[in-house]
Amino acid sequence: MTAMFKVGDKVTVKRTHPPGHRRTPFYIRGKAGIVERIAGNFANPEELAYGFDGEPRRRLYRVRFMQTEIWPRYDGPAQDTLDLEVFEHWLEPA
Amino acid sequence: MTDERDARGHHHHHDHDHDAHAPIEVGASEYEIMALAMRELLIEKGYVTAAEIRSALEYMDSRTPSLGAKVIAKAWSDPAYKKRLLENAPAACKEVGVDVTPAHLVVVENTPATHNVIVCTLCSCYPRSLLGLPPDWYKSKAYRSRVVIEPRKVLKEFGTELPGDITLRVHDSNADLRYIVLPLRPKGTEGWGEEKLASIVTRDCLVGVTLPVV
Amino acid sequence: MTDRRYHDMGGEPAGPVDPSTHEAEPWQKLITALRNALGDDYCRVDELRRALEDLRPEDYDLPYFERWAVAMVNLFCEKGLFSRAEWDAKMAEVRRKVQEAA
Repeated sequence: MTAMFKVGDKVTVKRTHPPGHRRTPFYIRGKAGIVERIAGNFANPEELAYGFDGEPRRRLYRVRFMQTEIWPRYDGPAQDTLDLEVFEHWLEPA
Repeated sequence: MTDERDARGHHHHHDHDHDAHAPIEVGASEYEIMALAMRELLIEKGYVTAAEIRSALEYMDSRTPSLGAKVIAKAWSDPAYKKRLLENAPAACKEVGVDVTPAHLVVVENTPATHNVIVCTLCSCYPRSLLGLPPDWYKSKAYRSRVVIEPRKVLKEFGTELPGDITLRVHDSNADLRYIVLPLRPKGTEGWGEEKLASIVTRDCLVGVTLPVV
Repeated sequence: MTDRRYHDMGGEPAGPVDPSTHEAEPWQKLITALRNALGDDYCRVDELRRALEDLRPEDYDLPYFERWAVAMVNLFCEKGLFSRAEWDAKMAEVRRKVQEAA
């Protein structure tokens, strides 16, 4: 299965708030960033958390966001960034 | 109305009559008793053996920031090793005798133009297989909440002031990767051997809240 | 927005960071070692995280290892590793032993 996104692609984290165990922090939902690397395929923590085996594995990306885009009142320099990991099913093309 | 009990045996009344649910003050010794009781019960039930627990404790004691310092000192001394460390940190750690399994370790490099800092906002993910248990502040609400939104202020609280022309990269270690920072080798360390270099690489440098001091 | 869960605190206001730390006490190391020794068969990290996230905010605000202890017992009872009655009996037994030793 090929990756839906490649390094350098602009992606948006889905703005959705399902209940349960999620590894996508609230503060990054709805924000757009650039794929920095494809981290590989990992067991799905949303399933592991409830005793399932986490299969099929999900593709995990490391995405870089500009701080000023995450926080409207960010008071540091404009070039500052925040990187985090987002599973493919939480991403859509920006 | 449902009536459940939590781990400490408190009754929880899930209704809305605002009846007194005064938090019971429990001293640390109560949690120590819980740890001992868990140990005994899990052994009795056959889920784990005393030997397995002992070996888990020994493994924990073998993981300290000095392992991370050793890796950084080698990277400072050997450009080819540094390249391998940045490309594949678990393999490079193995070269110096440190097995970081099961961590998918990533090393992020400070440069004259870039500084990196690590956090886990959702819990307290930390490269334990390299550095051991995380420090108290790493697990604190203050650090987890604030370092993503006002990282420069938080760094100042550690005594680290970054010039405005430096790019600050915050890494939220929120899923399967674990991170350490490769600090810049400070001036004044020319000619130092790896052991002496390792002596200035502290745990806080490896998380990115401080810089190595000569 | 009210959908943010309590543990999901990135970007929330909070006080200054206290940069001090201390060595983990033996019981705190034991808590961690129990998780590691049980491993994925009986205590997956993601299951434990979920048990931590499901704590009431006042329990989530306990210090780190205390919070782990409460969440682990809840998880083990939920998974059927032991029953609540067995847990209560074992706690009473250990508490008695600790008192006798004191």
